[in-house]
Amino acid sequence: MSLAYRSYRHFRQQRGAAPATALWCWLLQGLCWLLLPLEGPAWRRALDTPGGAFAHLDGRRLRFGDPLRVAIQAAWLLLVRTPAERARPRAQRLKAAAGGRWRRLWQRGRQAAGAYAATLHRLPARVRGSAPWQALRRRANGLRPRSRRWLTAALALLAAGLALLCVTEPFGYLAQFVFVLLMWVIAMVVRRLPGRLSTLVLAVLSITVSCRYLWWRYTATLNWNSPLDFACGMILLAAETYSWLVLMLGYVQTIWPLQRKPASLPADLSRWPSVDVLIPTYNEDLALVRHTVYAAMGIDWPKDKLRIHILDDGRRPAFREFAQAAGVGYIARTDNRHAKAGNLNHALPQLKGELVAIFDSDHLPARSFLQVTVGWFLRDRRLALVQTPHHFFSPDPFERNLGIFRHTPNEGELFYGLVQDGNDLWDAAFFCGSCAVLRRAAIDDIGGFAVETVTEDAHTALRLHRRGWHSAYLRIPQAAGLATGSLAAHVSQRIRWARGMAQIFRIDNPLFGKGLSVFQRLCYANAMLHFLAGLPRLVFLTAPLAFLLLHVYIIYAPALAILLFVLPHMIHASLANARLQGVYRRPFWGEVYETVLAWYIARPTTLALINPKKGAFNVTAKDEVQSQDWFDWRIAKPYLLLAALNVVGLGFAAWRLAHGPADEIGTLIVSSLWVLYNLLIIGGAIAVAAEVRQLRRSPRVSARLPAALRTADGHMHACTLSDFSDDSVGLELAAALDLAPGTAVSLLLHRGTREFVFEGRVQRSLGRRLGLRLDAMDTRRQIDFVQCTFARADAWLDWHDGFRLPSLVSSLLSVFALGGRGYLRLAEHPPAVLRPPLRQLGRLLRWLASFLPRPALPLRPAMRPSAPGSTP
Amino acid sequence: MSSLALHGVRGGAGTSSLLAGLGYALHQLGQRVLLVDLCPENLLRLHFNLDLALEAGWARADLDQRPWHEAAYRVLPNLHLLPYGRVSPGEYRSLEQRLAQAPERWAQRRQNLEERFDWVLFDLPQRLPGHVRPFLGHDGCRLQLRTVNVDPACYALLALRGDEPPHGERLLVNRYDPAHPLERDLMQVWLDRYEDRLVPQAVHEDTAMREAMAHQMPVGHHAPHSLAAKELASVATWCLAQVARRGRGAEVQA
Amino acid sequence: MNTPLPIRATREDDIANLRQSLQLPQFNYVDFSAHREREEALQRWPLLRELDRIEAAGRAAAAERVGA
Repeated sequence: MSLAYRSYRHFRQQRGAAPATALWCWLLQGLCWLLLPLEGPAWRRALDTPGGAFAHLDGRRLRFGDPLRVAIQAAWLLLVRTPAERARPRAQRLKAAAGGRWRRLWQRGRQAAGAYAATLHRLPARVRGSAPWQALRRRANGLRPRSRRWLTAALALLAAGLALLCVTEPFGYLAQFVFVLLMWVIAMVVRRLPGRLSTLVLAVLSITVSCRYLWWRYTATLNWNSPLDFACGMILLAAETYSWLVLMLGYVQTIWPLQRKPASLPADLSRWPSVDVLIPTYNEDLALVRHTVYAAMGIDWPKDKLRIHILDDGRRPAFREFAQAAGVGYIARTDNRHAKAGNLNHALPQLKGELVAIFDSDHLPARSFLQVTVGWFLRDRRLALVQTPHHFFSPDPFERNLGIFRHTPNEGELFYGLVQDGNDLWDAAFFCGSCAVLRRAAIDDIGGFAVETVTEDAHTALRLHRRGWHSAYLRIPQAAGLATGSLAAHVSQRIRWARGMAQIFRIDNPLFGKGLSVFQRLCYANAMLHFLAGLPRLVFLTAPLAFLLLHVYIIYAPALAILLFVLPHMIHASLANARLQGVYRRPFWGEVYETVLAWYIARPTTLALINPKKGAFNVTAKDEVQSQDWFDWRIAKPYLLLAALNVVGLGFAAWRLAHGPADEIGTLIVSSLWVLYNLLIIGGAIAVAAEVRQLRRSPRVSARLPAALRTADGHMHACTLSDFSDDSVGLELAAALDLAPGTAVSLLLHRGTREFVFEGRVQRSLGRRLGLRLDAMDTRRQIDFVQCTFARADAWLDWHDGFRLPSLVSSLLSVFALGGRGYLRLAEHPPAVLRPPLRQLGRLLRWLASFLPRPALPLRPAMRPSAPGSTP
Repeated sequence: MSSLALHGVRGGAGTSSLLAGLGYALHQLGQRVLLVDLCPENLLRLHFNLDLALEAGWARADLDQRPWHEAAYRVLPNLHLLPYGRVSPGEYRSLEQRLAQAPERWAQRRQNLEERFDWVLFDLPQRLPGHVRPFLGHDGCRLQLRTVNVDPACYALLALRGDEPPHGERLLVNRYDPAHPLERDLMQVWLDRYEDRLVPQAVHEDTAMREAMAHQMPVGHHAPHSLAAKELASVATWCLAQVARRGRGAEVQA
Repeated sequence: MNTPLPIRATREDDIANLRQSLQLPQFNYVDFSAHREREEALQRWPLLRELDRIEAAGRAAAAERVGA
C-alpha cells in the first residue's frame, strides 16, 4: 500500500467494495489525511515497507472492518517492532541480541564440551594401552584357573554385598539425594564412553537404582491402616513390580546382541540342501500373492533343489490356475482347522525338501535369501531355525498417521533389531511365522507346527528348544512386505499375538517343563510378559486419579521422598535403555506404542490367562486403503475416556489446591505432573487414531538406483530410479525432458551385472521428475522386474540410514509434542453433533483473528517469479 | 604419465567416437590429455570441430619431413589433438613400411608425449601392423583396450584369433543394446567368459553418440546428460583407478 | 561434472553391495539366474555355442600351459 489518494470509484471498482464500505473508507481516508502527518518520514517508513505492510489486506475484496484492521496494523507496525527486524532469521537476531562476551563464553563452553567428549571417547583405548593395565592383565592371565575362580567368587560376593547394601539401606532425604546424585554423575560420565563395558555399567546402575526403588516401595510406602489405601496401593505396586520385572528381563535379553553373520555355503553344490518354499495364504489378493511367488521364483538356488508351493486355505480356483501357469505347486485342503499352523502341517507330508522356508503371502523374499540364511544349517547339524527380520516397505498406521516413516524406528524395529538378536546369544531366538527357514527333520521331531495356540510360531520354536534344537537369528532384512493398513487391523493383529502369548504362558509355560536353559526360560518369559503390559499400563494411566478424585494415598510417602526415589528410577532406566536400544527405538516412544494397545490387549490376555482354550483365530487384514482422512473413534474411545478422566483429575487438583490442607500441596503437584504426563501420552495414542489418507493402493518404495531411459528417437538418458511400485516407477533425470504423458519409452534397470529393459509409458512429467507406468508384462518380465526392484539382495539394507540417535530430552519433547498434536487432531475431526457449532466457533475465531496485526512480508529476490522457460 | 590405446576388434566398432568421448571425459576429470589419430582415414578431428580443409597431421609432417609435433592442435586448455593429416593411399602404405621397419620411432615419441601429458590416447587403425605395433604388447601403452560391439562377428574375431590374447588387454563394449535378444544373450555369455577382461562399464547404444559427431563435438560436450556421456565418464574414472592401482602395485614390487 | 563419478557398475551390483554391507568380502554367492540365462543363450544361438566351446578349450589349454 503506498500513500496515494484513492477515489470512491477506485474502492468500488478496483477493490470490489460494497457501496457503504466504499463510502465509509473514502470518508475515513479523508479524515486520516486531515489529521495525520502521513507525508512525514516515520509514516512513510512504516507504510512503505517492502512487500507491503498491509499484504494481508491486498488482493481481496475490501470489507467493512478493513479500516479498523488498517489502523491496528499501522499502530502495531509503529509501536511494536520494525518489519525489517522481524524478517531477519531468528538465529541472526539471537546472535545480534547476545553480546560478543556471551557469544565468546558460549563458544568456549562448547569447545570445552567437545574436548571433554573427545577425551572420554578415547579413554577406553588409552586405558587398554597403558602400562599398568597391561601389567594387571598379565598378572590376571598368569593366575591358575583355580585361583582365578576363587578371585571371581570373592569379587562376586563383594559386589553382591555392596548391591544388597545399596538396595536395602534406608537413607534420610539428604543421604538419598547424595546417593542418587552420585549415581547420576557416574551415569553421565559413563554414557559418553564407547564400548560394551559402559553399556553394562549403565545397566548395573539402572538395576541398582530400580531395585532400591522397589525395595523402598515394598518396605516404606504401604499404608496398612486404611483398607482402601492399601488395596489401591497394592494394585499400583503390582503394576510397578511387573514393570520392574520386564525391565530386568529386558536387560538380560538385550545386554549383548549376538550380531551373527551369515555362513558361506560350500563350493560343492551337491552339498546344498533342498528347500521347499511355502507361501500360505487365506484371503489375500492374488495380485499380492503373485508378486511373492515371482520373487520366490527368482531366489538364487539350484533349480532342482527349490520347490515353491502356494498353500491356499481359501481354495480359490484363480490361485490354482495361477500356480499352474507359473509352474509352482498348489496345495489346498478341505477344512481350515488350526488356521495357518494347520495349513502348514497339511502340506508337510507332501514335501520332500530338507529345509522349509516360509513367507507370508505378502512378504517378498530377496534373491539372496537362501544363500544368506542356509549356511548355518550346514554348520550346525542341530540347528532347527534361522529367522530374519520382518521388514515392511509400507508405513504401518503409526508411521503413516504420525508422519514418521523412515526417520523414526517403528514399533517392530526394537524386536527385530535388538530383542531377537539379544535372544540369539542365549540360543532363544524364536520363530516369527514368516521370513524364516526351518529344518524339516526338526519339525517332524516335534510333530509338526504347534496348533494349540493362535501364535503357532513362538510355540513351535519353544517346542524345538525344549527338544534340544538350536535357533539362529540373522539381522539382515532379506524379505519385505506390506505393513498393516489401518490402526484397527494393526490392533487386531497385536490382540492375536497377545492372546497367543498368554495362551502359551498358561499351557506350556517356558519357566517350567524340561529342556530349556535358564536364559532361554527368561527370554521366552519376557517375550510373553511383554504382552501382558495392558493392565499395568492402564493402572499407570489412572493411578494419580486415585489420590486426586478419591483422596487415596496410593504411595504412602511424602512428595519429596517420592521424587527422590521415582525420578532416579525413571532416569536411569531411560539412560540405560536409550544406550541399549540405540537406533531401534526412540526413547519414550514405546510408551505411546504400548498405550495404544494397552486397552485392547488387557482383556484378551487376561481372559486367555484364565481360559487358554477360548478365543478364535482371526487373520490380519493387511491391504486396506484409507481413501480419506478420518478419525477412528471406535479405536480411540477408551483413550478419550481416559483423557477425560485425567482432565477431571486436573480439575480436582485445582480444587484441592485451593481448598485442601497445605501439607498436601507437594503430593498434589506430583500427582498433577503425573496426570499431565499421562494426558500427553494418551494424546499420542489419540494422534495415532487420526487415520491419514493413503494415496495409492500399491505402496511406493523410495530408492536410489541407477537406471536409464530410452526415448523413441534412440536417445538414452542416464537417470536415477527414485521410487517403484508393482507396475510403475519414478525417475529422476539429470536434465528436464519434454515428454508428453502417454509417450512410449523403455526403461533400463540393472541387477547384479545384468541389465533388463522394460517398456512403459510416461504417466506424468514434472521438470526432471518422471513417472512411468510399465506396460503389461508376461511372467518372465514380471519376475525380472521384481528381481530388479523388490527382490534385490541389497534392497532393504540401507533402510536405517535415515535414523539418527536423538537425545533423551529431544525425544521426550517429541513425545510431548505428539501428545499435543493428538488433541489438535481430535479438534480437526469432531463428532457429527458438534460439527455445526464448532464450525461457527471457528468462523468467529477466524474473524476475530483477521483483526490481529501481522508481520509484513519481506520481499526477497528469491520470491520473484523467474522467467518462464528459462532453465539454467 | 599414462597412455591408452584403443583398438577396434573390427572396423566400424565406433572406436574413434569412443576415443574422442573418453579423452573429453578424462579432460573433464582434470587431466591434461592428448589424443593421437593413427588412422589414415583421419576422422578423429571431426569430433573437435577442426576445419575440414586442414591437411596438417603427424603423417603429413613425417612425409614432408617436417617436425611432427607442430601438427598438434589445442582444442581446449589442456586438451590437445594430433590428427593423422591428409595422406593418399600410396603415401600411407609407404609410411606403413617405414614404421614397420622402425618401430622405435613411435615408441620414442610416445615416451616424449607421456612426459608432457597426464594421458595420451591413441586411436589405432585396422590392418596396418606397423602403425599399431609400437602401442600394443609388453612395451605398449599402459592401458590397451579393444573396442567390441556385442555381435557374433566380434565374438568370432575374438574367439578365432588363434593366438592367446595379449596380457592386460581389456575389452570395452560399445553400442550395447540390451533390448536386442541376441545382444543380451551374447553379453550374458561374455560376462561369464570374459569376466576378467571386460571393462566393468559398458557403453550403450545411444543416438547422442552419432549426433555428437554430426555436431563436431565429443559426446560429453554435446550431450552431457546422455547415458553414453555418463558411461564414458565412468570409464574414465575406471582408467584413473586402474593406473593408480598399477602404480601402487609397482611400488610394492619395488 | 568435475567430480569423479563412481563407476556405475559397482553401485548396480546388489551382491557386491550385500557383501559390503555384511563386511564379508569373501562371502560366497552363486548367481544361478545368470547361469540359467547363459545356458539358454547358448541353446538358442548355434554360432555362439560353437564359439564358446572354442574359447573354453583355449582357456583350458592356457590353464594347462600355466600349470605345466
